[in-house]
Amino acid sequence: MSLAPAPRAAVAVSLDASVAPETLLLGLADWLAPGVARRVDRRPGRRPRVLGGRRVYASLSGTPGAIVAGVGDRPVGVDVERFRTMRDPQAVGGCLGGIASPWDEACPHRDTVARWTRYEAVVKALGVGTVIPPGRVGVRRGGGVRLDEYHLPLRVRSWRVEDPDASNGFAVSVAARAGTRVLRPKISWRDLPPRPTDGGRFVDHLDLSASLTEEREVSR
Amino acid sequence: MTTQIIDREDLRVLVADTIEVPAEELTDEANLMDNYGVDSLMAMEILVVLQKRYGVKLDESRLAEVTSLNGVYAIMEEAVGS
Repeated sequence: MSLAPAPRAAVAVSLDASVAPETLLLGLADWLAPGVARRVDRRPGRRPRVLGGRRVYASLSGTPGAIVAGVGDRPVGVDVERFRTMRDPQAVGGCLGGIASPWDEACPHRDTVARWTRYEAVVKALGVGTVIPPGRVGVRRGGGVRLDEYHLPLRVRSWRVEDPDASNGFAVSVAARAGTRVLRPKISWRDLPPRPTDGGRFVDHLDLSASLTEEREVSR
Repeated sequence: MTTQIIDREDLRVLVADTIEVPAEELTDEANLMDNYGVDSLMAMEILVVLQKRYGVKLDESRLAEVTSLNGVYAIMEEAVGS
């Protein structure tokens, strides 16, 4: 008897402003479940959907200077935020009481941004957005997730958050079910066939080697 | 119970200051995300600043309603009037 393979999720970060988010998402979907034509359906306030072929779950996030895409066999949520200074990081951080910083850093600005990124990844993975207040979401330093005093009509146990290193001044988090192998695949973007995307222009000459590494586990 | 009156111009200055745009450029209807690059974390900052300034507790689940000055005004009117 063979065991079923562990579910996988893949995340990619692009610091290239010319990259259409849909392109990044399609590249990852091709990597996760290759060989079928797909397009991306994006609607405000809803998860992006990768259409065609077998179902893959998708998530996108963008901030000026960076986009992050995630796909998975199971629901996945990603978020990217630029590190910046805030007027009152302690006050904002106080709203994120249950979310640990992924780093042992004493910079309240950096910590608050990183913790917020974790929160956003979780609520996007759950598919509920910021309807769940940040104070109700807990993320331990190791990535385990809990929801406090919040009732949802879905299973919320056993989620985890990983914090891939994005460098260049950005915080990135990806939330997926526990047991999911979260990977950062190396994708040869030049090999991707041209295909239409919804809203974003297709770019067929990307070199994301600086932000994509060899396939490896994101988990520490 | 005392009910505060929210001065819309005070609110405009407070929000503009938080997102670092000139108050005179912040119109009532303008979409904060599309026009001023406000993201979810900045929206949270706005809620926190308002809570401190007006001494009210705002429901953070209303974060998604922080899309324009009008939206912020509606949240505040409800908060101080309740």
